[in-house]
Amino acid sequence: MTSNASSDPKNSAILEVGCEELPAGLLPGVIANMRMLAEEAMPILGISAERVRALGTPVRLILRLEGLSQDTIPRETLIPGPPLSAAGTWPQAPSPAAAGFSRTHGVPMETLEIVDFPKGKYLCVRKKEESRPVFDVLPELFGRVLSGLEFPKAMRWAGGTGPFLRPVLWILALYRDEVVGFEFAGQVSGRLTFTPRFLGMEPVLLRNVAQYAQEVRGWGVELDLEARKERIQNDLTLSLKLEESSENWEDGSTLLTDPDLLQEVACLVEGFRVIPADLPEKYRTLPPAVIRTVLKVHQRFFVVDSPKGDTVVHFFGVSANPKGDLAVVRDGYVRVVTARLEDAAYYIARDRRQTLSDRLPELDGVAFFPGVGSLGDKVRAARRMVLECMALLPDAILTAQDLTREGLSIILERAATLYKADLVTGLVKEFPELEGAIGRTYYLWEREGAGTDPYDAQIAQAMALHYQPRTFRDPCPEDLPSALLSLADRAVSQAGAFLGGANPSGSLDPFALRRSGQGMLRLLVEHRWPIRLSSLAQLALAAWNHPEGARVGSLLVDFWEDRLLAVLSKEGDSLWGRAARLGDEPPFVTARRGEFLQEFLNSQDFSSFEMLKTRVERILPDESFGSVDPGLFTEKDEKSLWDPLSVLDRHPFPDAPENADFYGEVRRLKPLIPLVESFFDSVLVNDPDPVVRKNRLALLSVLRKRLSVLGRLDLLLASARKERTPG
Amino acid sequence: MKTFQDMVMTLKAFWAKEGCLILEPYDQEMGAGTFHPATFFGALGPEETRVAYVQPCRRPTDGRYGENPNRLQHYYQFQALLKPSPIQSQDLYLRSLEALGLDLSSHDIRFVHDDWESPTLGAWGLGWEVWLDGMEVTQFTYFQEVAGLPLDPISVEITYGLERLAMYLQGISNVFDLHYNDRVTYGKIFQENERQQSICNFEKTDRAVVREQFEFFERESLALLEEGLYRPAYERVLKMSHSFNLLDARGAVGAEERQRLIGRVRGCARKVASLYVAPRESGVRAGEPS
Repeated sequence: MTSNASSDPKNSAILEVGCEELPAGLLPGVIANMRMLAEEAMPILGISAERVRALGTPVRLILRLEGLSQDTIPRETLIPGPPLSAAGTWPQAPSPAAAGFSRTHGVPMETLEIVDFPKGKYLCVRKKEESRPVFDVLPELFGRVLSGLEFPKAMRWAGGTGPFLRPVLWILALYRDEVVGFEFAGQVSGRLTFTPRFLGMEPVLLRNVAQYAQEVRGWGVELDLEARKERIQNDLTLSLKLEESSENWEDGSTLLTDPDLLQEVACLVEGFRVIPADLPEKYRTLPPAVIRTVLKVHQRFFVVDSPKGDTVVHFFGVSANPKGDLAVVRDGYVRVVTARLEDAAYYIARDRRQTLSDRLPELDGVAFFPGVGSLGDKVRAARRMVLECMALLPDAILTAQDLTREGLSIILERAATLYKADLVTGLVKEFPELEGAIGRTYYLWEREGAGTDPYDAQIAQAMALHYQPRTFRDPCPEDLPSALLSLADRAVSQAGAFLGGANPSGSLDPFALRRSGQGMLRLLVEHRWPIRLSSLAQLALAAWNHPEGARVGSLLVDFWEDRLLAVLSKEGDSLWGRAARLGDEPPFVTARRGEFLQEFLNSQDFSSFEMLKTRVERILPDESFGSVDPGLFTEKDEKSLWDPLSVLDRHPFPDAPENADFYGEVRRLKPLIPLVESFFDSVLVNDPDPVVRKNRLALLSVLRKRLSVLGRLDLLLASARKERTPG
Repeated sequence: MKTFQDMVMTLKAFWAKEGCLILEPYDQEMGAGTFHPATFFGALGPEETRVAYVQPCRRPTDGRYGENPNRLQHYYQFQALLKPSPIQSQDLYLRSLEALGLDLSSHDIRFVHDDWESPTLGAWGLGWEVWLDGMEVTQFTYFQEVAGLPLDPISVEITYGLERLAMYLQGISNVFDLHYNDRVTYGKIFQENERQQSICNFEKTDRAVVREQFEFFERESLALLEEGLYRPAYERVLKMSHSFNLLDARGAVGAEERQRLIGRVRGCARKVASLYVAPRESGVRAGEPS
């Protein structure tokens, strides 16, 4: 270590990778990963530090190590080689494997050790690593961290340099006042950093680590993402107050908090300046969904609502140039918002020349799947389908939402007629993310002044919400009309795709049928509808009235079965679904059984039930045995088992799928366990007399039927055993 | 005041000085400058390339009958393609904005993540939209694949939206008020054209005929590829792509069918690219300029 090392009392190191702008959506993850990789690699390399920090801006990834030990911790590692059994006569006449092992590690044969592992005795080499100056090891640490970063999409540039997230422009790597020398992604590390873009990206030569912090302070840049978010949020709040107190904005204007947007904006700027701006009067009457989409999604601006909260009147932009000309930048912001809203206004004006009903014929001109039908055909199929689905629901589900059967059918009929009409409006073509929401707005506009129709609000809502769930985590619509329309739309779309030969295969699923199918299964599970997948497939294919319907029916059901397993899987493990799924029952019953099994597996009763079930299944051939005739009983234990069992047998379980109470069934069956045990102890099931034998098998088959409703306990047991086995 | 034509001339001069070949527009309809053979073929293969050109773009769905101050179905892109991408690509680009008269220190200029993909060409790249005070004025992309082929070296493509940039520089909020030169406005040249083309694209084009054309160009392209004539085959790919855009404007393509049609264009584009790349791999040059 050099003598001037003491100039930095904190004994720090810094790594800064300068990049072309990193994707804002990925930056937080990359920063977190850098820190994780450093913390993983440091003990392996024997480096210890008091503090490890990962920081970042759109153009910098930074790793700071503070309070580093001057030297690495000496380490000893044991490297296992061939098993002793394969080492020949060691050390006099080693096998080729043993000789190779000692050669590879460059140690004499005699210095190898025999170590006892759980798997047996192995030849090992013990390597000691002396303590080294930390400075010598930092290049490896930095190299490991950078090459360990993984990105969803990495790129190459120039003559194939990379891969990295974006081109690397410079690497600053210092330990105290010395350069930590290494090469990465076409750059050699050095003591240069660069000022932010708003200061011209000028090179700055650093003497030592301490000077880095001073420079950054001078730029007015906050390197820490969380702190930068906080600064931006504070400035937004302060700016709002200023605008209110100077009476530019009405008191009580609300800045909508938006953590996702704040994070994204903080990943788009190094330095920043909050720019308040007014939404031009002319556009304030546009549908708020349109304005919000333009401001937030298209422009990353923060929305400021009027005190009443019903209109958007102002917004904040966060400029990446704190030194820019406020008037010029604001003018640009307003202009770009104007351009987008002008386009929306243009479309709304054009769209309103026609009603949604007027547009229905246009749907016939839009191909859905060649040979299957048009979008218009799909809408008609969905309308047929949704009414059929409603017919499958018991009254209780309707009354729980204060709906009559007649009312619901009116709502569904109207909503399902118009629900895709907004797709051919200009506004949705321009703002595809607003499909559904625009349908709702247009429908309500049309109905203004048409008198009060008690169903309009629900019809409009179903047109908007039937797109949910859009993703795996997006909630299902709660109201019955939206949920049923979502179900019918998905079922006919997927049936149509299968009819058109577009079944997903392997990694190919261009129409995202898996996601849409999973959403459909979630609806069935979460709404607890007593609808079987086979009936759903039948209805969906019948709704298309297509000659190929019969051919794809089972494919479609298989596909949905698979989606159900995905919905029920826990941490990617489909075991729960497989153990819980019994035949073609309504999916929510399977889901309920899955929940029951998770608890049941951890209960004391599980193993006795599992043993019982296995024992019964093992002795019973897979056939049916007719009914039990108590007159044929010869043993006491036959009768004492049959008495309670026959009572149960008169009340099939579950009597209706929505009543499936698995815990109750366990309570009912539990008293039978000792009776079955005595039965097996004293009764010879395979009696020489075929009539007696058949009667005993019939008794057991009643029990088997009863136990099977609990699910595939054997699958759970096998997997639980596997988990407990080490290695 | 920088007129529209001044801007074009400034950009041409700027990129010429950076060693770019200044080409002229390709004489076929296309949706973006990327379809120009100078970029499609230029990005493939090993040789160094620097080229820049103006390309008129046709996007029938973007037509607004000349009634909308910001949208056009026919507009201009200025495009530079540099292979291999220089390490100071962003810097070069920012200097080109300065050459257009922008004082960078007073503006909010941002490179906003926007990965680019052309499913029709089987091409994708990573890069940004460049925002000038919130307005997207440029698409900046490092191509990673073209026609499904990984690229080496990597090209950077810089695509300026000329009208938007000009509106910004001239401080004008209606595209038709742009000063094309100091006497003639953009609207005088193009507004009536926008109206008529929009009527044609949205209301008159015969869907059945355009579908037939799509099929026809595909057959021709495939037949030409059989003969090794990948240049004219590529021109049919452009025709297929434009036919698709026309069908799209007529609202004749559903979400699902869209994938299929695009896949067919991509299929031909891939065959074109592999024929273009193949002879050089076997050491025989196909007489392409290097």
